[in-house]
Amino acid sequence: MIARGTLLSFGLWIVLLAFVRVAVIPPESCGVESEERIAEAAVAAAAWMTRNQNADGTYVYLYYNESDTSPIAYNEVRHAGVTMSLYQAAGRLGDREALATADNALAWMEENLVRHDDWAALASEGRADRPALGASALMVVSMAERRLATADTQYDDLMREVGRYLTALQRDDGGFHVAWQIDIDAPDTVGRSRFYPGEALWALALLHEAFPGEGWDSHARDALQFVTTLRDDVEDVDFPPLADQWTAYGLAEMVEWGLTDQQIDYARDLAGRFGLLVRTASQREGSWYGSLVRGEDARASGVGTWAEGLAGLWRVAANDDRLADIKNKTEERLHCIAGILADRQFDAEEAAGYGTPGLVEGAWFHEGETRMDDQQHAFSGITYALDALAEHKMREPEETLE
Amino acid sequence: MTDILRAAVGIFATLAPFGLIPAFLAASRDAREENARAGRTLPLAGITALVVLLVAVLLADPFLDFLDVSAENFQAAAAVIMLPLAARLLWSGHSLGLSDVATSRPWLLPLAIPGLAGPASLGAVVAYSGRYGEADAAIAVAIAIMAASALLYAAGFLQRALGERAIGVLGRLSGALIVAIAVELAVDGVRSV
Repeated sequence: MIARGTLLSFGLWIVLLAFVRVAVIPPESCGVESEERIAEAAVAAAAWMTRNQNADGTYVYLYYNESDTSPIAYNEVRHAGVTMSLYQAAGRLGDREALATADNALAWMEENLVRHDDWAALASEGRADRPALGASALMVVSMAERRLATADTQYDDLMREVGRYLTALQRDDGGFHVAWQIDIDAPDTVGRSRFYPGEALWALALLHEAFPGEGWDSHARDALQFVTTLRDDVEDVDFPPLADQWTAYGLAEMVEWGLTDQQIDYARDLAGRFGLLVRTASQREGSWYGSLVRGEDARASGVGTWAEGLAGLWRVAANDDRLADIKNKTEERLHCIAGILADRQFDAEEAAGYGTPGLVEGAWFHEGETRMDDQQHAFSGITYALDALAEHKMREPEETLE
Repeated sequence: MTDILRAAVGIFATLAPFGLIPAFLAASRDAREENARAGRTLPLAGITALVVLLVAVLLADPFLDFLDVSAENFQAAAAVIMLPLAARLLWSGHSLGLSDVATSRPWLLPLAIPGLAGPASLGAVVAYSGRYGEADAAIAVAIAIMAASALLYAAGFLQRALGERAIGVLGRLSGALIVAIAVELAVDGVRSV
């Protein structure tokens, strides 16, 4: 005869363990396992960006698959970002169409430059008096990616010119003002951005890689010091460190220059942040109750940034022994998030059921909406995740396009 | 070495030997009165718990695979599983009631299981196995069981020297330590890749 107290205790444990299973550790699932299929997802995403460019060099910004509509809206920061990814596609996949498309987009950026003093900045129509730092930073990154993909140096002077806008906006603490106010010829000291510093950091690191000895590295180091020590406080980040993939890209670029212990600690914490996001996403995928307790899926532009960030930090771990202990786990998470992205991408068969299949195939939709940077971040994230799985430690393409 | 020590401290905390002292002394006294297995209660309980926890170390990976749970996420679960024991210790100062030991084989039920090898220590062992690897976790289990056994071996002396009230206070402190270990495990799980 089992005592009533024992039965009660047993019952309470069953309830507790059931609660733990549902609320704390719902099963995790990582979508597509095949690296080949994951690679196909990257190709399809690059094809979407290539296919959906307008005649003027801009891209389709937003598209709703249910209503088959594409509202008029644009953002020059995301334009530069998508162009960056297409140059990555050119370098990584040898995709000449991506190169041609990105060159059209770069021409649009050249047409939308604002020149002042010795610098140039990318500004879209209506914002020419206040060019955003992030747009110019990603334009520099785009040109750097083009240089890596083609070994073509025709944009070197423009890279330097736009690079000087970044340094003109850099503060003494290594952080950045968000824009220059051209009408009053002074920086905007009020505006704030969480991600611009990381974008500028990466751009400055790439400038140094392209033009060593010109002093870009000291700006990059100051920016890295700001991002790793002050940015989260300045920007009131609730759960630091901010999940900023741009900083991860920058760290990956700068790891060969030598990182301080504090910067390595920051990289470890940042990898933990991205890892948690991936694990949580995999819990959403694993069961119906996982999706209930973990909330709705993030859009691909967000999920892709986790993969980009982890891939950058994987490079840091692969090149610096102080992070060697997180390398394998980082690969696991990268495989997982790339698989989730591949699983959620719309394929040709699904796209055929919509009004404009060319705007659906290869895209990621969130509540019926895709935005061009969904494809951008997902593409870059998957591409560099595959690099990690292939133990490809350097980000540069192995061969250049002519 | 640091990892092994950290895991050993965590596992030792979840064994909560101070909270077991009253039940252990009662079981030993009963065994003496019945003149059966007197003096063997502790070795039998310790070895049984050691075997159970080592099996848990070996089965940790397949168990997590079966659940489709990463080791990092399991750390948060282990932390939650530790809380009932922590609450009981904080509330009463002991992890087993004196009446619980009135069984035919108290060294097995409840001293070895669930006294030493209970949900909290099993959860901790699986969590540390995922975090530091099987070898380190196994060594940590052995260290923790030896330390807990040594403490229980001195239980009679401690009770006489310190008194029941002090033992109760130490039991409550064990509960607080388990809470701290649980928080550390959960936070580490959240911060890990």
